[in-house]
Amino acid sequence: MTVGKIKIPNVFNIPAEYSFVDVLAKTLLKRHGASMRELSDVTVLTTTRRAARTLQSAFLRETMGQPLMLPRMRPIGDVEEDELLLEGDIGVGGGAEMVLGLPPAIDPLRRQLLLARLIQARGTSVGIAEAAGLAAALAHLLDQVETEGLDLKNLPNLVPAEYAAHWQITLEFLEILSKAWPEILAEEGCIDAALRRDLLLRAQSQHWRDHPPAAPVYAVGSTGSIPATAELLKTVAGLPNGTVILPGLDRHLDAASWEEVVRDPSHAQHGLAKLLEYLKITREDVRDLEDEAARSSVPARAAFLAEALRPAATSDQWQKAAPPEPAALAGLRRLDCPDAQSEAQTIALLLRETLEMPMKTAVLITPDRDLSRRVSSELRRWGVEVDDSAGTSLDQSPPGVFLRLLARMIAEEAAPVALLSLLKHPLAAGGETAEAFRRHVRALELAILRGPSPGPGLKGVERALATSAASTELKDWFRRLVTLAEPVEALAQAREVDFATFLKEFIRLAEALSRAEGTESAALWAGNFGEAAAGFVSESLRAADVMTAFTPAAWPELLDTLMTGRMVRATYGQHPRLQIWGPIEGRLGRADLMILGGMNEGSWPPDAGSDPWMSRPMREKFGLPLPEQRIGLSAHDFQQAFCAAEVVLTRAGKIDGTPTVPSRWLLRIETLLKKFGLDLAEGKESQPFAWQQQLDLPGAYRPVSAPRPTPPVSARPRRLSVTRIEKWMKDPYSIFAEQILKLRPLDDIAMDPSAADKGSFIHEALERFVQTYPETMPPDALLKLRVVGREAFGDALSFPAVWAFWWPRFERIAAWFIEFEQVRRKKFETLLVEAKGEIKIPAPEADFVLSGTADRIDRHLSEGSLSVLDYKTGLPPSILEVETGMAPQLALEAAMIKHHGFPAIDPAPVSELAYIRLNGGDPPGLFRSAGKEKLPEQLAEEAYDGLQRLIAQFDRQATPYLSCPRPDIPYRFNDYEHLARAKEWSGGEEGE
Amino acid sequence: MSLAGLIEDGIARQKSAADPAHSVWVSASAGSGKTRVLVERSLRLMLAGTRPEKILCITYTKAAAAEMANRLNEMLGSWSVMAEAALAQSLNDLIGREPSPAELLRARRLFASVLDAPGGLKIQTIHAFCESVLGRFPLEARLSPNFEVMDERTAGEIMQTALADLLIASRQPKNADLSAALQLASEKVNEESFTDLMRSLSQKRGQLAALIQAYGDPGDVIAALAREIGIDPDESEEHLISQSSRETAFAGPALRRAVDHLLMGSVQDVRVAEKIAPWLLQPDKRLALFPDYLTAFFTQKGAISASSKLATKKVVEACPDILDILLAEAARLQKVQENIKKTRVLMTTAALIRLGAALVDRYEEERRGAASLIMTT
Repeated sequence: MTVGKIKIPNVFNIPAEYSFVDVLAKTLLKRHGASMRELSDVTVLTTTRRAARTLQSAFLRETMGQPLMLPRMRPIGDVEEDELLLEGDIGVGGGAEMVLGLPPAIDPLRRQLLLARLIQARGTSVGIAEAAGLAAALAHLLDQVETEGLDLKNLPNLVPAEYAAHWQITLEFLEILSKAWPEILAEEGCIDAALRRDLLLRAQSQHWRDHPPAAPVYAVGSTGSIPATAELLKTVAGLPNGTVILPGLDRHLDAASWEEVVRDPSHAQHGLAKLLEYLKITREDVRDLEDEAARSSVPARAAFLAEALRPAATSDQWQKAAPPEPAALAGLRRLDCPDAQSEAQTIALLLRETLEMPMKTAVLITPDRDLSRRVSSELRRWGVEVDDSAGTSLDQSPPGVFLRLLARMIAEEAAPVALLSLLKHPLAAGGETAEAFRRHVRALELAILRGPSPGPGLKGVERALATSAASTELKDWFRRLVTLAEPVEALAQAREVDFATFLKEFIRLAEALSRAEGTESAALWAGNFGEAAAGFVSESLRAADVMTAFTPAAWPELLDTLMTGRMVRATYGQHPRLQIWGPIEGRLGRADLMILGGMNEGSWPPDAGSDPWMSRPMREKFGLPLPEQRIGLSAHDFQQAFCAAEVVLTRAGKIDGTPTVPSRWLLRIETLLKKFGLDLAEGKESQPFAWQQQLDLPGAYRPVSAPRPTPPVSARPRRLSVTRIEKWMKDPYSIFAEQILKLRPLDDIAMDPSAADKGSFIHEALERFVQTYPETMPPDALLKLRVVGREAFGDALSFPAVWAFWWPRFERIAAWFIEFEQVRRKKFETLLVEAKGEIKIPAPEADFVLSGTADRIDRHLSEGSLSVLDYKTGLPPSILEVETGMAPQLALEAAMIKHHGFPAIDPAPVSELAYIRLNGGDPPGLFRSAGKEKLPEQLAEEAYDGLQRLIAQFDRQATPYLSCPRPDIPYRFNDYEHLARAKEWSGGEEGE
Repeated sequence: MSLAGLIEDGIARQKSAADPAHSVWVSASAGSGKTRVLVERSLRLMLAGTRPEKILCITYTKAAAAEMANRLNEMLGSWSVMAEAALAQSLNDLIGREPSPAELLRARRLFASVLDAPGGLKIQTIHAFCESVLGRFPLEARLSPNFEVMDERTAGEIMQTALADLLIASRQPKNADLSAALQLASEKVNEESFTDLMRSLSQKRGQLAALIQAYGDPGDVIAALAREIGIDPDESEEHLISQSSRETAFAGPALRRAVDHLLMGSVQDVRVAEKIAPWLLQPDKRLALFPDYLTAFFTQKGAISASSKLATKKVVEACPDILDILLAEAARLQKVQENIKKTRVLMTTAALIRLGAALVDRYEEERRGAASLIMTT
């Protein structure tokens, strides 16, 4: 049976000034709601699954939540969808046999890996991750070609001869699609999902044309931008019981402009105009469906927008445009915020305000996912949780991040930052409670992950842990982790492994790590995101046989590439009245207040991006849709949303510090309004702005002043070493923080050995050498010193910077030192090296103990006087500093000798205080003795007296531990400046 | 010129610069209207019928690009709605004549045409433009189509890894060249300065690569450099000094005679003699004594000492050719020093070229590895 001759197809329109889904639900109920049975016989073809859900909730609103036998809803797909729909048939008679006859669609991930393998097989040295990226772009092209029903064979003829050589490179590459790919598909026994959808839609059309169904069929909300859906719409429109309902068809543009719309792909109505052309009907043939109860704005609003968005070719007609009636602009506001953050806060405030009004609903629509993220986190100020129904890319979701961190940790062989990032992820629990696990991780960090990195691999960390002071419990805890990770670590060592084997072990470890105490299943797979991650993993496992030889080192990048762009959406919204949508969700849904956020070029409309394969004219010639078509679709989304009851358009004047360009539609609207002396923008005095300003305003401004801690005298240190005295004098606050608060700065994670380490290696080498050969130098002194040095440097020599820079410097120091010693030993003998000593200094509160370690004390062979020496690998204090008592270390050591502080040395006059500067430069060493202006003995006495006064001063309760009290005498190694908040109160005079 | 005259002159210059019939180079201070000139040029081009998408405007900052786009939009927006007479006046101001009816109509439509231009009116930073070219031709550029530009932090991290790799590689016996180069570098600079040095070298990696490509490999570059400055690439400082210290290399007898005379001269003469004598008398220590020896002939700044400093009048009277002898030796030594300097320059340059080339290789390798890491789909 063929369809009879129906002159005018059943094509209807729901104008933009009505809520599409609500009018639709009302219409369907009115037409088919007489009995429960009748409605459930109706088939509704929607564009997307999400559109179907929007319609379901509209039905629920109509029935006030009463359950209802809903019509059968079937998504048929839309361009710009990130998922190709239609796994099965539309399910309305006859489709089944067709479905059974068709090969299954290939998994997208499998396809990506297969294409990546083909790319790699072309011989260019592309890594698997890079190949997978290219494969994604190829797959995208393939989808477009199949969706448009084109043939890749036509590619070679696309370009004029003068570009042919150039095009050849791309063409050869695309042979992957035209030659190799069909063979692979045949082997796989699959077809591409896009082709399958195309075949199914066309088969359905054919079937309905041959056997028109008795039950009503509605195709709603589609603009037929895919050829196969256009054909289906045409079929439905021709069915006796078929109805096509268009979204927001224009009713206001003049005829001449409407002619232009068909030629102008960037126009909002282009898709609909093309569809009408295809259906061979005019705008007048389309009847409007209206329902006053679902009206959101007046027709004048739509008319005004149609005028503003008119095709460029007739834009001179603006001259003749009539001013909009006030009702057209009622409820429209434009808020220009200075930056992205204030825009997000303003939007959050508008949403929050909505909740103050009973029943009112509000929605933010934005293509800018960064803005939607900011808004949802701002809403948490008030405990309001709103889902972003445009979804989150899997790689950004918690399980996605966890898996990526795990991959990174393995690839980076448990490098401290990678290891800690993984172990501190909220999903990491390792079979314990999250709290217990986190406690262990922190202990691990403090025990060995601060400072220079331990050896590679978890084994390396374990070895470092074994020699550390960590508790046995922590060591046992870590051993369990090492055991868990052992299989993956072993596989990761190999150059190539079987992907399936690797992936299974990887997932096993991920599950074990994310299992919390007392639960059976891994937290990793819980919830929406977890399910999506599980789906991703099983798809990967199914595709694993594609890669038999897999390079484990490429796993982190490959994982990123494969996960990116897999959108995960919440199935049900968390909030009954507030929502955040992407433009696709906004196409059909409506709320009382619609906020269109991010009204800048680049978001509304989004950047078209660049096509890696073909230029614009080539695409056109080949038959692919032009990039402007996406702009047109986006414009249509904007047109629909703009006609809601209350609309707020927001934008940020700057994003990341860069000025933005307002959306082209906003510019058109404002330009047209300017003609009539109108505009939408709300001034800075508007309420949302005022609220936003106050949001983070501190109650009062309280500047901090310099700290003046005066701890009880009983808590103050009664014992300090000579090296602390200079610190005490110059920055008492450091002594307070270090000695009384017992605060020590933590090393950075994975820090290279520091200058302090270098100093201690060199000190140690020289000390050992002088100790081993106190009297006579060995004949091969330099060699011996090098051997000692190698021992002193120890493991640190494995750091490239250490052996490349420090070691050569040490060698130069060694050569200099041997020469120095040979001369020195003619006049001096070394009494002590690294000599520990202490003296008691009487003080008001109690005796004070001055302790210290002298690097070296020599005695003059003939005069018997003593010499106090200190090795400095950095910059030693100047002679002036030593002689003015600002650097009292050597003088205090001399004073200690005088007061019998070194048990092994009998007091004798000190005749020399000297620094041996050892930096390995040119010259490698330098001997510098103080005591030009004042005799060492005198310096020692002054230093002793000075210290005694200092002790007495701090034995008074009133004396505060000031932070750098004398800015003119700064302390060079101040670790506590930040703690003292010095930058906050010391600024001003010096500035930055 | 009066102030009004100056302003008039400035406007006239602006007008002529805004004429798209000429290629111009405009250099002017901030706020003097450079953007205005660019905007007017673009407007005149489009008014004459050039399609907006055929124009490329390159700016240096994103802010300037946005600013220019906004000004252009504002201007075109007002054209699209202003009254007929006002539009005619505005166009007249721009092109310096009555606009034709076709131009008036085009001006009306330009606003929307520019907004809808396929691919947009291209007002971009140079970086954005280059990126778009690379994005359009990824295969030719050997890039993944979804490449992303590396941020500075990532680049820094990759540099750090490449540097560590370089240091490790220099340890392998097969890389003796690198090891020697590193040895030399580590004598001259410390770790931090070395990192800075390598970083600045890597910023010139394009030039460095071009240099190496032009000659073959780093060794060839160094050989060419050596030819250019006239030094044997295997020459060393020690060798130069010991060669110039051979008895046959200088006028020994004459110098000895000069020393004898100097020793009988004033305190100053004796001091000069004491610098020359040790070197002259101890042939086996000449290498070590060379720096001291030089001080007899040269000032601290390296110039040949004045004759009066070389020998006093009394000595010259006693030995009339002493100045000739000393100055001849000084001239000889100056050449030796020059060669020593050349050798030093060559050695350090060679070291930096070797290290730089090796570093850039490693950097590129790391960057390739990381390319997918910073890719988004």
